[in-house]
Amino acid sequence: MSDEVIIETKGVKVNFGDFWALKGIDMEVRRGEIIVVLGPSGSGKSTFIRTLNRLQPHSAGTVCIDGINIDDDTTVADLKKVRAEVGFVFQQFNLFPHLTIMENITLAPMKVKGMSKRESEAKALELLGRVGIPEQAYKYPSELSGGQQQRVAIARALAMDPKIMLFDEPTSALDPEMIKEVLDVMIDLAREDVTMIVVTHEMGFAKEVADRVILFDEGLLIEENTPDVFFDNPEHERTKLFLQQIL
Amino acid sequence: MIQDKILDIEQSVIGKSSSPWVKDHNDISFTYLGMGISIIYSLLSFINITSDEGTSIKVIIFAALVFLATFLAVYLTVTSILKLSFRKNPATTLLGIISAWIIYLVVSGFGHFALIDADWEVVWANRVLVIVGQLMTESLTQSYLPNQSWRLWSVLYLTFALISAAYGTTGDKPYKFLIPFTIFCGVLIYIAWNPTAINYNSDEPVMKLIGATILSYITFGLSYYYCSINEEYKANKLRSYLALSSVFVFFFAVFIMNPPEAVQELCADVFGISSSENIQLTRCGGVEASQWGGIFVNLIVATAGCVLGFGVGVVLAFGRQSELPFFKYPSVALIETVRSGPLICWLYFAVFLLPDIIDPFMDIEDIMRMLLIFGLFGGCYIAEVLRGGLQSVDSGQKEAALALGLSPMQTKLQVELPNAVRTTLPSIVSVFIGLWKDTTLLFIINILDFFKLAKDLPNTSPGYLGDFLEPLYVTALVFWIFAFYLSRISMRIEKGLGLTNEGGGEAA
Repeated sequence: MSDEVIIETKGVKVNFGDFWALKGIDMEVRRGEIIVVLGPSGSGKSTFIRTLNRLQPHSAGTVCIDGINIDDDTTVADLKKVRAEVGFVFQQFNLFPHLTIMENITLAPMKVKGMSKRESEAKALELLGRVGIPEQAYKYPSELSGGQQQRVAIARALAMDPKIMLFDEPTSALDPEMIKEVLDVMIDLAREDVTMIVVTHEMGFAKEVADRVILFDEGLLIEENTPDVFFDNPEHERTKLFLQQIL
Repeated sequence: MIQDKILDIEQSVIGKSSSPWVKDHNDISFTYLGMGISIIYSLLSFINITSDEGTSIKVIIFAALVFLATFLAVYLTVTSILKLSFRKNPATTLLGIISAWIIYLVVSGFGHFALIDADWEVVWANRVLVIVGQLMTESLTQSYLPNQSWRLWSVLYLTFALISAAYGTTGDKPYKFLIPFTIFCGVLIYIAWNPTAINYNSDEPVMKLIGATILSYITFGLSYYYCSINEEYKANKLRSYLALSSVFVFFFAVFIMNPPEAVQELCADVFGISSSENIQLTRCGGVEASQWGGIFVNLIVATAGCVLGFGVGVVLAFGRQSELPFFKYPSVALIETVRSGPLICWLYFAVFLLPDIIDPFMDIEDIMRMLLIFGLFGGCYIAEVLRGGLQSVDSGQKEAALALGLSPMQTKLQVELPNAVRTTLPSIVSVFIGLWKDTTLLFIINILDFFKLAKDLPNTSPGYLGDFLEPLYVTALVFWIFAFYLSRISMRIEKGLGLTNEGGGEAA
């Protein structure tokens, strides 16, 4: 972990009509840091990480990713650069059903980075090896189990060589026996020099790899602390209540 | 065993017996009694027909058909009375008996027309005319015109090769394609060969059809072999290449039938035809579009509707969803205008108004303008179908593509469109079926399409005067065959979509 700040948000607010999903979030993330975001449903944690690559435009405040400020005035080229730099893994995997696993992974490197087909396929095979399913390269997503699909989705995001990986509840749509295989891949990833922000309900994962744990509630950042302090000796009453309810 | 089968079928048609004298053990005897009475009655009608109409082979076939239909109707009626089946469920019994008698009426009425009354010679004598049109027929049968039929044959060869190659990629058992296809080709060869009322040399078309059949077997075999040794994704690749090639075949057909003048002149130079000759009367001249006719016109116009229509449809569907006002509003206006007018209006529009308002369209021929209008008309319908498909694409798909850094345009073309096409293919095919049938409207603007030619066949010779029903029946049959075939394809696609579990996340 270096001291360089790679993600910086100030007073980020998001509203859907009269409902304010985020009510001003200030956060700094340094390069290589692993951050786990916790919170009850509807607390705005997914909305927050979606603002980081502008899948969700924010209505106020600033979001700065690796020196690029993203808002309405960001040029298309800059936005593309940010999105290529930020990998995103969805709860529902969102693999492209009409493409094979190989094509799912090579699509973006070829179309966005202009990599050659051969180069990107070699890279895809390497990534599939890393997530443990090299033999599935020429199947279609519908032929894979949920856990395998999510691992492909991680490989697809990694194919762009992202500096930042965002995970939006990556294990919530999975059957319990498949959660571990996905978490193992994420733990492997955490050992490398990738900045990660993970929205999850997996406390074990948070305790094992997180540098910082953050609690969101009702669109506000309630507490941020190291895992030891957060789980054993939280500062806020709300955190205690949250931990009591889920543990 | 067989008795149970017979009883099962009988009960499903007229219902269970419910009389005091029918028990389980003697149920079948009453069936046999009914059958016996029915056979006697049917035999009488068989003898009656043959004594009235003579004993030619057609009459025997007709009498046999009537025999079967009479047997069914009388047997069901008598048995239901013997067993009092109508006491239990009168609606079922009544429906069964009425259906049987309707079958009897249709078979005896239509069979009598088709096998005894009708004189099919009017169709046989003009079969070339209704397939390729006036000028091509003349070029086949008269010596003062160069034989241009190779132009059509080349299109036919390509089409056959493509279709059979496409069947090779489906992964079905080979006999599922080979048996129907062989029967189809056999029928075509029979039609070309049948020596009744023939006015052209039948050896050439028969040989060429056999050639086309063999070519199809080869391409089918090749693509089947390729798909069986490779993974599924390669078969899908091949399929999309074949789909692209079919677009190419359409443009090739338009080009080869009537090459641009420059190409005609180049050809004349190559073959050493002096410029003093009328190029249209040499083998280098194409067949002018205004001279096209027969079922070829219906096919090419319908194909234009599908091929151009799909292209137009994609553009308009995106246009309608676009946020750019100068793209969105013209698209909406075009779709709403074209869809709200009847096709006949647009055909008249293309013939009479288009040349006046748009200069470049002045010189091109009627049929070419028809191709464009069908493309536009089909495109507007397909655009609306596709729009529905695009709206139903899971928003996660779009987000995933954007999150990977794809531009909005790439997202639309690489992710949203393929997804939308997959889910809407059955509806798109039904638009195609509609376009195929609408091609008959061409006759009102004096294009000699299949329907128009068939309708006028009785006028071709004094001997055929009054035989106007036979060509119309054939027309109906031909249109039905094509439309039915298309609808089978669409059902296949639907089945294919239902078999696999689509949608990634939802499946988990």
